[in-house]
Amino acid sequence: MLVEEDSELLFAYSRRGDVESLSTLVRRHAVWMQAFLRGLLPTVADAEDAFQETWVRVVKSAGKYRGGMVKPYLAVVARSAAIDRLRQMGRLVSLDAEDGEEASAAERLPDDSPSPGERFESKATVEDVREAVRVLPDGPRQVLLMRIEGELSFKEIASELGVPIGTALTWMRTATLKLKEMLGESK
Amino acid sequence: MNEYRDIEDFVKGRLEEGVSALPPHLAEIERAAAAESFARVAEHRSRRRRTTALLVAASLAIVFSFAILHIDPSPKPENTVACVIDLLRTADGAETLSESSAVVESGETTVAEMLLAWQDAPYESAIADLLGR
Repeated sequence: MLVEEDSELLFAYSRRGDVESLSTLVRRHAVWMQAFLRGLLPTVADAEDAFQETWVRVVKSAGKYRGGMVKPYLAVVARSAAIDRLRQMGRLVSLDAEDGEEASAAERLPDDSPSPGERFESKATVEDVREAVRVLPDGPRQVLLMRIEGELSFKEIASELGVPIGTALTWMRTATLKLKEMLGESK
Repeated sequence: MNEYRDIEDFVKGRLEEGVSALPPHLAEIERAAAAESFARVAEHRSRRRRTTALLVAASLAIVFSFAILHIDPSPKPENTVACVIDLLRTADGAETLSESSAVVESGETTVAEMLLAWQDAPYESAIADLLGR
């Protein structure tokens, strides 16, 4: 059976009003998007509400879709929905404020990254990983999630966050080093 | 080569491990999608109806303009005015007009009275008055 591309599904909905195509798209992207939103928001309920809000926004703007990669687009919309939710909750931390701080924090971390070929292994559970991601500073957490779940390029991430690409790279390094540090203890 | 790929893959795997493959609020999302689609189709149809109406009106205007200006052999208003002016040049003509049975009431003054009053008026004023009526 021929598997339709994400863009074909979105076009089928936006041009022909095919709701079934949109449902297929929602199911196809349900897992990573929930993981992404759970990483950004404090509770499962918040993440589920943001999930719904994300798709409602996609539905409303579907008429403007002109092609292009769907997953990074969805990640950007999902992040926006999550940010708005955090703003409503009064829990949004300005990324600009922690720019310099995070860059220096990354510098302070010991560079004990695995050498090429060395496989990272950990016995950390799902909850350990979620908690480790949750305690990351806002900037590194967002970059990590946009990168590994949304599959955005660093250029796209930097543009989305409104920071220089160097900062986005530094935040990614900060995130991975801190996770390695925290989860490595569970080896 | 991304030296952190293993950690990233591990974290991604773990984050997605405990997540249900069933999308939350799927029914609500589908309802919103159907409503939005319906609204979009309705807007599209409404826009098409407005465009069609405008096209029809414009076509009719063009057809009527063409018929009146190029096909209709009936005398044009300016020709009628010219005929009246010619008649007014002579006393006989003015009299003919004043006796015409096609006198139309315009307030309290008849057309015949007005024509008699125009005999001494310049042509431009007579034309302007006639067009104004």
